[in-house]
Amino acid sequence: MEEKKTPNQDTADAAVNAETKQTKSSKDDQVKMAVKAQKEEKKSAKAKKAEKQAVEKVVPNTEKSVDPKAQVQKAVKPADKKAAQAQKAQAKAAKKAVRAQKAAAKAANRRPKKFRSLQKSQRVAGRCFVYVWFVGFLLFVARPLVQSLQFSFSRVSTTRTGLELQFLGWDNYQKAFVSDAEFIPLLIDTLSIMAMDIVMVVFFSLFIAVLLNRKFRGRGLVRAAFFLPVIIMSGALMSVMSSDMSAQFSGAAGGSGMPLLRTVDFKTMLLQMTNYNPMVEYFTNAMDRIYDVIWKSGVQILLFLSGLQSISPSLYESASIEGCTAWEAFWKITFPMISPIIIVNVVYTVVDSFTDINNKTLEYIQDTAFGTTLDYGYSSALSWIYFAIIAVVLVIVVGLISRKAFYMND
Amino acid sequence: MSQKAISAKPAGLKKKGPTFNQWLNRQKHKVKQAPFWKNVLLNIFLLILFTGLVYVLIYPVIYIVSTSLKSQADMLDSTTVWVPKHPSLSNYPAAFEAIDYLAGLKNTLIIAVTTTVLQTITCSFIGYGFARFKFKEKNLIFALVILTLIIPVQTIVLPQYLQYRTFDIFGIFTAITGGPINLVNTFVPLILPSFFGVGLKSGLFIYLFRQFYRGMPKELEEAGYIDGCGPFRTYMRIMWPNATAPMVSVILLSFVWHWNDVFEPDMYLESANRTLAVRLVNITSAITGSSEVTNLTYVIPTKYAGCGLFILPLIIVYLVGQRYFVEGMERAGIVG
Repeated sequence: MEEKKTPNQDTADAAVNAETKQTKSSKDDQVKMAVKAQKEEKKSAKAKKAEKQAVEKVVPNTEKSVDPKAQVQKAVKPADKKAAQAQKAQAKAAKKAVRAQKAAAKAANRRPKKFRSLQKSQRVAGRCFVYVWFVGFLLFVARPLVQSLQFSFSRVSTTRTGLELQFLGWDNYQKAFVSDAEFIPLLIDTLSIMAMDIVMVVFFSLFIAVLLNRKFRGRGLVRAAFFLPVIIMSGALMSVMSSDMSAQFSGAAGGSGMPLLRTVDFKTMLLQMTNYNPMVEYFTNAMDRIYDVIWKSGVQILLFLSGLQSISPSLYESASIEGCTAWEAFWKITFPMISPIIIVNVVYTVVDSFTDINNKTLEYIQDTAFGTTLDYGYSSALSWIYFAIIAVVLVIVVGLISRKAFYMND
Repeated sequence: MSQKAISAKPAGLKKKGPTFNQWLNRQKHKVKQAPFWKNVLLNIFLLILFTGLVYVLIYPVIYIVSTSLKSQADMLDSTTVWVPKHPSLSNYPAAFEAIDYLAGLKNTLIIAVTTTVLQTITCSFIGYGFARFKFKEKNLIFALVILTLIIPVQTIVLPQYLQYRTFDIFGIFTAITGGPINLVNTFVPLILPSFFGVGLKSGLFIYLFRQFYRGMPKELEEAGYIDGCGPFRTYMRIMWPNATAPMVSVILLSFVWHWNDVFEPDMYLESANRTLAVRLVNITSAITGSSEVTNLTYVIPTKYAGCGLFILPLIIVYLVGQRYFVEGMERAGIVG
C-alpha cells in the first residue's frame, strides 16, 4: 500500500525542493560570482602583464595564456541558457578589452604618427623640378669644368696614347699675370668696353622697347628690323662678311670697332670747327659706340618687349582715370613692373659682352689654345681667370640691382 | 541741394555758376588731353628716329641682297653701288650647289627644331621649380645656372670633346656593347644637353622663365591647390599655358642661335652631317674648289648669295613668329 504523503511531507518536500533550488541558484550565483571574480582576476593579471610588457617594450605574447571562455565552460555547466549567454557576452567583452589593451600597448611602443607637412611636400616637389637640370649639369658641364681646371694647373701635351698632363702648380697663372705682356691690357680694355656697354645698351633697349610697344603704322616692320642684329651678328655671317674688304669699307660688317664711313668726315669737320682734339675724339668715339650699341641691343629689345606685354593694361586704364600723365605712367607703372626683366637684361648684357665672338680676350685665349702655340694648359688658366673676373662682376652688379627690383606677387 | 533746385525754381531766376572751389575741383579731375600739335611733333620725331635706326639695321641685309644680284660686270663697274645695272640670278644656283643647300638645310633644321622644342619645355619646367618652391640649396643651384652661362666655350671644349669621344655614363654602354661608344659625328652631342636644360644659353632661358613665373599671381596656384591639383598638375594645366610671352621669346632666340651656331657643329660634325652655318663659313673654298686662284668678281656675289640663302629661313621664321607678340595679355581668371 502506498503511503499517503502527509501534507507535512509535501511541504517538507517542497521546502526541500525550494532549498535545493535555492541552493542551486545560490550555487549558480556563487558560481557566477566565482567566475566573475576569476575573470576579474584574470583581467587584472592581464592588465598587469600588459603593463609589464609595455614597460619592457616587448611585443605582447601571442600565446593563449588564459582563455576565460574555457574557464567559464569548465567551471559551470550552465543549465541556465540566459546565464550562459550572458557569460559568453561577458567573455567577448573581456576579449575585446584584452585586445584593446594589447593594441594600446603596441601603439604606445611605436613612435607617434606624423603627417607630411605642406612645406615638406613643397620641398620635395621643388627638388623634382630642379634636379633635372642638376643631373644634366653634372653629366655634361661639371666633368669638363673639373678637367679644364686640372688642365690649367698643368702642362698639356699630346702623345700617341692621348693627352698627357704634367703638373705645374700655379705656374700658368703666374705666367698670365707676370710674364704675359698682352693679357692684362686686353683684359682692361674688354672690361672698360663692357662697363660702358651695359649702361648704354640697357637704357637704349628699354627706350626703344617702350616706343615699340605703342601702336603705330609699320610697327611690325620696325620690330622685324630690330631683331635683325640677332640674326646677323652671328658667327657664320660675320666671318663671311668681314673677310671681305669691300664690305668692311662700307661699314656693312658692323661689329665692334668698325668705323662708320661718315664719321671720318664728321671728325675732320669738328676738328676744323673747334680745334680741340680730346673733345672731338670723345664725341666720335661716342658716335661709333652708338652704332655698336644699336647692334648689340637686339636681344634686349626682344626681352623687354615680351616683358612689357605681360603688364596688364588695366593698370594703365585705372591710372589714366586717376589723371596720370604718360611720364608718370612710365615711372610708376612700367618701370617697376619690368624691373625683374631689367635684371635679366643686365645679366644677359654682361654675359653677352663677355662671351662675344669679337671679344679680344677670347680671341687671345682661343689663339693660345688652337692657334700658333698649342698651349692648352695656359689657355685654360687664362680662361679660368677671365671666368672668375666675370663671375665677380656679375655678382656685384646683380646684387646691387636686385635689391631695388619690385615683384608684384612675391 | 538738388531738392532745393527742383522745389524752388521760379522762372527768370539766373542760374548761379560754380563757386571757385567747385571750379578748382573740376579742373583737377579733368583728364588732360595733349594738344594736337604736340601729337604731331611726337609722331614726326618717332618717324625720323625710326627711319634712321631701321636704315642702320637693315643696311647689311640690303647689302647682301644687292651684292648677290650683281653680275660680274657690275662688280667691276664702280658706278653701281646699290642697284645693279645687269642683275643676274645666276649667283643663287651656284651658291646652292657650292654649299649643298638641301643637305645642310636638313641637318640644320633637325638640330635647330629639336633643340628649340626641348629647350623650351625643359627650361620652363626648371624655371618654375626655381620660382615657386623653397628648398635649402635653391640659391646655390641657381648661381650655378647663371655660371654656366658665363663659361667661355673655349674652356670646356676639349674635355667635352674627349667625353663625347668615349661616351660612357656610369658604365652602361660598356655593359651593353663592351666598350664606350663614339658620339662624334652624330647629332647627339648637340641635342642631348638641351634635354637636360644645359644646352646653348639655356641658363638665360631658365632665368627668363623664373622671372616670369615669379611675376604670376599666387592666387592662380592657390585656386588650383584648392581644387586638388598637385604641383605638377598645377604647372601643366595652369602655369604653362599662361607663359606665352616668354615662350615665344625663347623659341625665337633658341632657333636663331642654334641655326647660327658655328663652334659646336664645327667641332662635332663632319662632311655630310654638317650644318648650314659651317658650310657657309667654308663657302669660299667650296666655290673655288680649294684652289689658290680666286676670281673676286665671281666669288663675292656667289658668297653673298650663299649668305642670302642662309638667312632666308630665319627671316621667314621671325616674320611668322612676331605675330605672337600679342599686346596686353589680360590675365584671365582673376576677379577682384
